[in-house]
Amino acid sequence: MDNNNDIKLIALFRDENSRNYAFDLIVKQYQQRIYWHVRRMVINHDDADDVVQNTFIKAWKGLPNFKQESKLYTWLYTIATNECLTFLNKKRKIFFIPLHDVEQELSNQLESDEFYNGDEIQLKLQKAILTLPEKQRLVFNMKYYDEMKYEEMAEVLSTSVGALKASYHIAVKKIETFLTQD
Amino acid sequence: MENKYNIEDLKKENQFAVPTSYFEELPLRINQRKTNTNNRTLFSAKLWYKFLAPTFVVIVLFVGYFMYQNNENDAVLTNQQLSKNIINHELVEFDEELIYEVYTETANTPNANATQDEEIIDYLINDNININQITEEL
Repeated sequence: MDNNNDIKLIALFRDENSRNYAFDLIVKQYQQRIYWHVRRMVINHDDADDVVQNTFIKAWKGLPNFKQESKLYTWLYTIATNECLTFLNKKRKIFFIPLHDVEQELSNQLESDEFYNGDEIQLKLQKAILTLPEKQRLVFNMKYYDEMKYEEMAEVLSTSVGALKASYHIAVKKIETFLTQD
Repeated sequence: MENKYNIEDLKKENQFAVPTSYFEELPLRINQRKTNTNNRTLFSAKLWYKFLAPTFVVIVLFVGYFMYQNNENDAVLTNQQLSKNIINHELVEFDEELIYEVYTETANTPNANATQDEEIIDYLINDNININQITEEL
């Protein structure tokens, strides 16, 4: 991601006259990457839409205090990740679903989702990913699909690079075993 | 033979889809929610300055005044001040009407002894008992 562009956007945002314009540019620039990250976590489009909107509203409120110690994208990604985890926890509490059953429910949703067009092997891959624990699923998605660097992931998830590498390695093994089994 | 999968060999394509024009409309919807959030915050601030803050000030003043009054009443008086106040009727006020009522009620209450005497006389008259005879016997 172009860091200079981020710096320009933040500078525009700091000026009250161009704040709305700058925020609109930020949304347009990052909405897709944030959306796909969220969608892979919550699976359903409507849920993803809610989470993405909440993410950007939180960003709007938090941007005046953004200290630019991290990249804008990493910062947005962190908000989106927290929003995903909050959403999944709420889902568990509202429907009294045990921890492992949320992923099972998401897996069932995937099959009937009108906005999912993966082939058989891709569907199987998604189901395999959904068998992973929440945090491991995050790590896998960030590395495999978003191709993030471990250093960036460490920033988002507040975890060490070593732990993330181990987590990704275990996740890959589990998925490959799942795909091989059936 | 068992199929051995390597996920790096799988195609990394996005299998999820979105409704038509979703990404064109999303910034507009976020902007709308952002404006609503701003208005709500502004409304809360206005509400505070227009209504809640003055009400709060009035309550604080009222409570302050009430507590000040209570403190004055509870002030400790020296014995000399207390005596002076009682003498000057500053602390003890009598309700003169009430005193008059109590006095007249007491005055009108029939004397128990008088009633007893009258009953004895009536008894003696009714039974034709001679008072002189009784006096002689005594």
